[in-house]
Amino acid sequence: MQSPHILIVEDDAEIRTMVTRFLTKNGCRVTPTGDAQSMNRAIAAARIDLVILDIMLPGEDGLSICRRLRSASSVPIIMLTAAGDPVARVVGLEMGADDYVAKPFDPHELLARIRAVLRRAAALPEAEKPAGPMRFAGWQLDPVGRELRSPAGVRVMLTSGEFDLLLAFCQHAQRTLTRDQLLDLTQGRGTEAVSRSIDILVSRIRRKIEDDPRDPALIKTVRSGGYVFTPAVDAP
Amino acid sequence: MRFARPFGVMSRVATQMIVVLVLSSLMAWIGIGSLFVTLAPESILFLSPTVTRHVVSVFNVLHGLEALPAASRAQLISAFQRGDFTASLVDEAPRLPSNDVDSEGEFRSWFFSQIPPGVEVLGIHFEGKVGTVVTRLSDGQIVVFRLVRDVPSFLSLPIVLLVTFMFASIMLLTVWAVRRLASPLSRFAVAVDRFGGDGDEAVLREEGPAELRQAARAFNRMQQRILRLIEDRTRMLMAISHDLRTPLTRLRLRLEEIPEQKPRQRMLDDIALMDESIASAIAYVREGGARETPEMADLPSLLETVCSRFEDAGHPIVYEGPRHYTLQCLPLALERGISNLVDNAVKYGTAVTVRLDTTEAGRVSIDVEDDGPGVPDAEKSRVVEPFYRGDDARHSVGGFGLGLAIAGTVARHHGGTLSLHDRTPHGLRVRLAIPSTLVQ
Repeated sequence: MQSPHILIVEDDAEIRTMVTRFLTKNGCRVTPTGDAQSMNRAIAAARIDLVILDIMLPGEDGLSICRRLRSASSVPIIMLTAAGDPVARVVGLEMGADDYVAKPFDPHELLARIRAVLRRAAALPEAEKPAGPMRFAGWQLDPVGRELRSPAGVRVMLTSGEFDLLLAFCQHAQRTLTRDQLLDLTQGRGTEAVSRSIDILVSRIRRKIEDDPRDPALIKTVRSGGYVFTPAVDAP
Repeated sequence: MRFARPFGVMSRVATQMIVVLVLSSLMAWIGIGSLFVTLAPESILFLSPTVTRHVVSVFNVLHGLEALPAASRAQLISAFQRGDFTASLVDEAPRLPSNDVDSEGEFRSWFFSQIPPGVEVLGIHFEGKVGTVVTRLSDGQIVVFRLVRDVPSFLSLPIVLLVTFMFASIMLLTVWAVRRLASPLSRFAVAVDRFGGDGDEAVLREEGPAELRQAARAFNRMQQRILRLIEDRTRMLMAISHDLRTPLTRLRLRLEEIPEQKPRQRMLDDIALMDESIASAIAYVREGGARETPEMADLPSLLETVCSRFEDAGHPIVYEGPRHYTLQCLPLALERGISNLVDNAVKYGTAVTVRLDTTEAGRVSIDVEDDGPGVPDAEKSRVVEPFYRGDDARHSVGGFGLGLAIAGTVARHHGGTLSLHDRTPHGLRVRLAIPSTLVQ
């Protein structure tokens, strides 16, 4: 991935400038814009690899821009918000955003997420992008609402690291995945997955979804190093 | 419905209304009765149709006997004989156990004025339903009348009907009054009790008597004002949070361009602290606001998720309890509440345990335990209040001191409680106890 072209839509000039500077320093090509109109011009002018979109904008707000962008193209979108509100997060994801970063943010984390989103976008062809809930062995995993439900319909909570790992398993079911592959697939959704090894996340998920975590049936350990998610996954 | 009813039957509006109505109509009847007895004591006894007929018959017989020769008298008398009216010609006046001839009364003087001249009333006696009247004709012949009264007049059909009608109307009036007064009142109480400013209150219908309509209107206006205040507060806080987080973001980004390590880390900590304070204030305000819909959730996975998050942040924390337990709850709110308790615990303690107890019937307890200094008894009730600052002024650890208040609100939304307990040798156990079936 050589020098991705990032479009920033952020009304605060100083934040815009500093993020631009930071991302440029880290090998991105950045086009900063302050509102919907200049964003439209920038999109018309050049190919964009990813949009960083503030929710609170003068004029057309971020959520509506997000919906509009998503209906026109599949360009990856990362939302920025100062509300720090899980509801806004879910709404943003439902509008089609790929990820969500709360202000004030660590620019390194933003960069990690940009990379992860770009990697996922490259790995998943258009048609494979998950839209609705996935099903495996009676369980239901909703990537948009980020909810997991048991066969009995009971909500089972996961940390975001665990969720991302389970989502990666579902997207690559019945294939052996090495720890490195899993790390690649999940990195960037948060610092959690990076800081905890895959093994710990797997054992936590097993405690929550396996009948007997000591004799797992869903996530099996592969002797040569890695894991395989055994059930067939129904993805819409 | 959580609306408590610690009052007995007697304190209900309906009961009191029945008592008042029954008592007042009894008083009215007693009043009317005594008026009758005072004004015309006999009328109550004599005014029945049978008695009137008997009295008229007595007059007729007496007039007839006076006019007829002694030989024809027996024939006349037999013409008047009935089951409840007999007249007999006797030689000697019978002795009566008592004689009421001399008693006073308007009816009696009228009675005597109708007696033919020359006829003398020797005695009148009543015993039960039988009245005996002894008279002497002008020629000395004694005539004894035996009159049988029908049912006592005060139990006659019209009166029974009247009383029945009266009580029936009291009951109907009461039902009406209860519908009109008591049920709007209790709806009023339920509405006031329910009102928590959390967006699910209904407008009270303005009905019933004028005073109640007025009260309902006042309540609705008050509710509107409170809701507006809450909304203003939420909007203000959101605006403040946004306006604070934008400069915080700038600060955070500027720090990226400062190479120096030591003050940089301290500034990063301060930014994190401020952000945490903003987040907890938002969480507190939000907790009082719109609620999520209750759903079935796996409680241990929720608690383990909270623990994992803190563990990943480098805090030693363990979860103890069953691996699965399904509970009808507000999962996101519960997660926020427990997170706040754990957040507090890791600030004050070095080892934190989250313990789930589901063994007690009808109730689940979530304990968050730390080995910190604990909270003195005198402060226990105050630390759960929002914005409370203890002696140790929490500036060093951040937040507005809202963690326990947020958890307390979450507990209340589940119909449960939050309580603080000491641990030995030192430490604090915060217990969030909620019913195992959600009370809404």
